[in-house]
Formats: sequence, C-alpha cells, structure tokens
Amino acid sequence: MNTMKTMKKISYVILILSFIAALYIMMTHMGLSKELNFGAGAYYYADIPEFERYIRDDVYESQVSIWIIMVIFLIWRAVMYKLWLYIDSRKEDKY
Amino acid sequence: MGFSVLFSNIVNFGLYGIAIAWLVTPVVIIFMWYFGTRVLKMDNNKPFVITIASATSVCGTSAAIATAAASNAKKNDLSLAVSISIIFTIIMMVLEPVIIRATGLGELMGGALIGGTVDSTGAVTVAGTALGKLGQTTAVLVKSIQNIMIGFIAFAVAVFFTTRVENDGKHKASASEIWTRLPKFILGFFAASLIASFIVQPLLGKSVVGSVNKLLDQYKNWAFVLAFTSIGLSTNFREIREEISGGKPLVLYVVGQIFNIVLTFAVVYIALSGKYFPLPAIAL
Repeated sequence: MNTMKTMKKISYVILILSFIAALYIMMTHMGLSKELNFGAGAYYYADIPEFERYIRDDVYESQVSIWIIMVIFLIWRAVMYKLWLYIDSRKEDKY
Repeated sequence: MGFSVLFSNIVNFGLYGIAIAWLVTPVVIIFMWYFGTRVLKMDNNKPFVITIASATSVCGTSAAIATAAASNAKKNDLSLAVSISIIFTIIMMVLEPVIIRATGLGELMGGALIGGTVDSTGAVTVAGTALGKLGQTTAVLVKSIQNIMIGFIAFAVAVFFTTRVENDGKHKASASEIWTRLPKFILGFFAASLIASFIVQPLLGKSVVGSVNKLLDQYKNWAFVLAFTSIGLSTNFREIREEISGGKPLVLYVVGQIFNIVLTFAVVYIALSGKYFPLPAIAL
C-alpha cells in the first residue's frame, strides 16, 4: 500500500513538473525547430506539409526480403497475442 | 489514414527497424495491461487500460482513438488518455533530445530511441531534428515502422475484447459474433494501407501516393477536427474527475512510459551500439 502511495506521489510530482516545464518550453520557444515551425498545428504530423518526404525509403537498403520481415512480424504478433491471453488467464486463476 | 501508413515502410530500416519498433511495443502493452488490471486493480475499466497502453506504446492519439473504438471505451476515457499522452509527449519531445545530447548517446541511437518512445509522429520528427539529420532520419524511420502496427493492434484488441472481456465465459464467441462486434473501420484501414503499399505505389510510384495523400490530408485533418470536437463535446469533466481520483491512470502512464523507455533503450543499445551487430549504413 505504501508503494502505491509513493507511486501516486511520484506521478503527481512528475505531472506538476511537466506542466511547469511545458509552460517554460512555450515561454522560451524551446520546442520550436526553425525548419519545422508550422504553427500550432505542427504537433500533429498530418499538419506537416509534405510529411512523406521525411519518411526516407532510399537511405537504407535492407538485405532481408519484405516477405521474410512480414513472416517474422506475423509470428511475433501471434506469440505476443498468446502471451497476452496466457497472462490474462493466469490473472483470472489467481482470483 | 490507412493510405498514409504504408505497409511497405516495413523494409525501410530492415531488421533493425523490426527489432526497435516491433519487439518492444507488444511487450509494453502486455506489461501495462498486467500492471493496470492486476497491480492497480483497474479491472472495472479494462478498455481504459488498453487505450492508455496503446497510446503509450504505439503513436499516442491515433492509437488511442483506434483502440478505444476497438475496445468500446467510454468517450471520457478516450479524452483522458489523449490528454495524458499529449502532455507527456510535449515534454518528451523537448527533453529527450536534451538528455540524449547530454549523455552522448549519438544521433543514430538517440534518433531510434526517440522514434520508439515519443508518442506522436509529428513530435518524433521535431525531436529527431533537434539531434541532427541522422537523428531525424532514424527517428522517423523507426516511427513509420511502428505506426504500421496501429491497425494490427486495434484488430487484436477488438478480437480480445469480443472473445474474452465482453464474453460471459459460458460460450465460445463464434466467428459471426466477432464479425458483428468488430469495428469495421479497422478493415478499411488495412485495405487502404495494403492498396497504397502494394498496388498504387508499385504501379504509379511514390510521388502519386504522395499526391493522393496530400489531397486526402485535407479531408483527414477535417475528420480529425470533427473527431476531437465530438470527443470534447461528449466529455464530462465531473466523470473524468471521478475517473482520475486516486491517480491510477497517471501512475499507469508514467510507469508504462518508464518501462517503454528502458526496454527501448536496451534494444536500441543491443542493435545500434555496434558492439553486438554491425552498424547500419544509412546514406543521408
């Protein structure tokens, strides 16, 4: 229970510090990168003009085929889903 | 949105991208699910737990909206999850490059760490740019690969909630039941992503996909404005106050994000420090 109280206190301290830091960042324009200053909407990538140009597919040449990567991806997904089911069922068993 | 999340981006950073963007994300979601439901005992609101978990581990607002719809979360929960995510994203966007520079982590590892941990894609671009050209490129590469997971995670969440959380446990959910409850927008997301990646881009080129996205972005932005306005209109602050009392959602986010940063750093260090694997040749 004490751990929970400590965690809550730490979280609230982080939240308060975050607000103070956010205000400081806005006041000093620290968050603004000159070439990426698109105004208030710059936060969301859809507002960055021609966002596609930041996704470079010509900077790295993968030696591994896309199909192998997709298979690895799908296997990893399946394993993680099974793990999620297992952890959730273990939790129910304990109750 | 599916049209702009290209599945073909999957190969842009080879196995390095897979390791950093995909190895960590589901582990963080499962950890946060366990922590939220078991340690914090937020069992009475599981959709809220999974919404915060996906916002933390994938890409903030977009993932929160998709997962909230897939798990049937309340509008107030979505508002709260998005608010927490945005507040901390802004802080991380500014502080992470500062810390990375101070620790001398370097642009390659630093960019990958930013791409894997900062929630929003726009914030990732800005934070990566603060490191330099290589930092920006690596950060956006990792994030664009991670974004592919939005649809997969929303689909998995929809199936999980249909078959386990919303199921009374007395019978096994049939395929038709899953289909009825499944939010159909996920299928549209997949279809758009696959069509753009494997039909439009190979046949007509990247510039055409870019032009289509430029046009669609206008509608997408309006749709997002309407979505956020709707979320705001249906938000009940009194209920949110009750929800946040005890600070559990905040604790869940902070603990989950710290776990996410530590785990991502470990994977980034193993993959990109040059001690265990050869460094990737990124041509800028």
